[in-house]
Amino acid sequence: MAKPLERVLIGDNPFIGVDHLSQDRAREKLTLLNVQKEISVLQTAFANGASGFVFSTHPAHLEAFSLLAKENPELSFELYPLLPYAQGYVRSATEKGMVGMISELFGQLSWGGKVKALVGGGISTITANPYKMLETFVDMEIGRFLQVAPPKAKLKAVFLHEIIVDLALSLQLRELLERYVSYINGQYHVKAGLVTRNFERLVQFFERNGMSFDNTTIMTPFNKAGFQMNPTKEACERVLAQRSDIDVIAMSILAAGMIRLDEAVGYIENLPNLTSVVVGVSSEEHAVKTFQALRARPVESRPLVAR
Amino acid sequence: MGLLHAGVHSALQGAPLIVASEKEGFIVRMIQKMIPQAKIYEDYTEMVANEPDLEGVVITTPIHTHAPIIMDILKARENLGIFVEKPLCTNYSDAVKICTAVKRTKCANMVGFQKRYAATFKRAKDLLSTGEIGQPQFFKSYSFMSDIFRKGKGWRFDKESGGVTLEVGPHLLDLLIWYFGEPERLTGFRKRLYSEQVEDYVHAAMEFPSGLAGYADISWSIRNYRLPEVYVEVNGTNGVLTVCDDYVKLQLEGDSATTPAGTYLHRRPQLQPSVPFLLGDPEFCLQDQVFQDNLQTGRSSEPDFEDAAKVNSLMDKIGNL
Repeated sequence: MAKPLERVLIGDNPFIGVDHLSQDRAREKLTLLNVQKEISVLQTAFANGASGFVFSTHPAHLEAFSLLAKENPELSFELYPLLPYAQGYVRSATEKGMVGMISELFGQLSWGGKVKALVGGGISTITANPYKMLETFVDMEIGRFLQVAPPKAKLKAVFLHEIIVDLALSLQLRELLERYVSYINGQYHVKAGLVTRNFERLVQFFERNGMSFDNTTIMTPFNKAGFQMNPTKEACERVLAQRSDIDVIAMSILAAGMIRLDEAVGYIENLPNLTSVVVGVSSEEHAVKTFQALRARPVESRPLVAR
Repeated sequence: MGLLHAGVHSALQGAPLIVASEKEGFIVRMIQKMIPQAKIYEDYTEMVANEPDLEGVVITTPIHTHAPIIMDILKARENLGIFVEKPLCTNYSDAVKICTAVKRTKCANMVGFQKRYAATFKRAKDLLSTGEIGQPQFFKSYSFMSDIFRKGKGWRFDKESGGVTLEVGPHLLDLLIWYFGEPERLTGFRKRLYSEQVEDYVHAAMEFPSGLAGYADISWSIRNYRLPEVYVEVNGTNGVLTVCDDYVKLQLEGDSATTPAGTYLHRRPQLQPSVPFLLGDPEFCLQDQVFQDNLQTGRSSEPDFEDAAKVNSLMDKIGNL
């Protein structure tokens, strides 16, 4: 019998209108969702086997965390923030221009002398150095979520969005990735997460540059359909099978809804070296079914929301 | 977009970025810090003059700068491939000048209408070409995004260089021309919702020589479109074809030459193959690969400047509504 998964996480895509199969479906889901519904689905997921929440630093989650902390302060779960929430910054850059967007973003720091507290200098100190800029941005984003999260929620990793990671891979920005990993490890004492849709290329890049996977977690698509597995499904599976030292969290396991849950579980169970998955759900019923199936053996069914 | 294409081309070649042109000091400092081996020219004409090994350039500057940059490059080097982000330029008159100039060269050229390389839109083109839905009679279409809900700042909102037609319309208009040819009649209206100088919404009704009629709605101020979305629905004598970024749906009333009557839904993940390197959407990689391949031969890549000029012609007509 296949080994049980070590980590089963709930993702936030349905909560923020992300659906890789259909924008129509994303819009429909969003109309049915609100903050109360989000925290109800989260608590159901945690009660049925999910151990943590992978979430973009989307403003909607701030309200959800505040409400969760108020309604269920004893709730314990793992936090896996993913930043930046790219679409928000794309929109801001459209309105203000790239430079305008960055100026405004870091301009917010000047209020209350936060700049000095964070970097020991002015805004120019940050914007003159892309690595310092990234670190300051991480602190800003993570800080506001940690402030409002339930007290027993624990930070486990900080993920960098695929748009940054894959751009860094393509342009061979070794120092950017190294400094990100080092900063997250040192500042937050957790693993640095990297999201990629080019898993084989990422592993080759690390190998070529003598970089270690010890302090990283890689989140990347694995599914029976080969959806978003590049350059090929077979290449991604081969690399995973060869590298037991890489901590991989499989995402897109349902291939955006194209694959049935039982098929997805069967595929995941047979992947060597895969111990973790993340999956998004949009209803309590879906959460019970999904997380019980992923936990291999059904846990005792619990009320949908612990109040 | 500059970074995206630089990334895709670098990934396809497995080689680092070595030369680029950028005027914005902040971005130059960032690139120099992160990619110290890259040579950054403030002036693109110097780059073209001083880099004899250049085989092609990718232009991703604001739309109103495309025409002067392309003309400068064509004057300086006759054999340099040119890829320019969509649209080709801001007006048809400039487009004609560019097309005339490029004909005198051996320059491989391509415009970034990457929807033609997206799995769903490409499948729709095939289905229309093989006549699955019979003779097209009527279509409705839109290109929507949720970006502008207050007054914006920058060239996109200036009368001479911006507006929703230029910024959000090109992909849809290119697809309509790719599918149906150029329209012979156009009517409709433009409307300002938040911007002072440019339109935020366009409704353009058009008729084609084949008798097909339909309309395109274009706006950047429509709520609930987190991502830009292009949608086309075509009614024909034997059924309906619907296509968007997510799926192609075919509803056939009777058997076509190749397909029995019925409803067929093909979602993007089923149609889209893996790509050598995924950055943004897969179509960027597929499109940039074609441009790279054609650099060697000097062959133009679909869609080329001539194709793109037709979009400029249609946008000019919409601008006069």
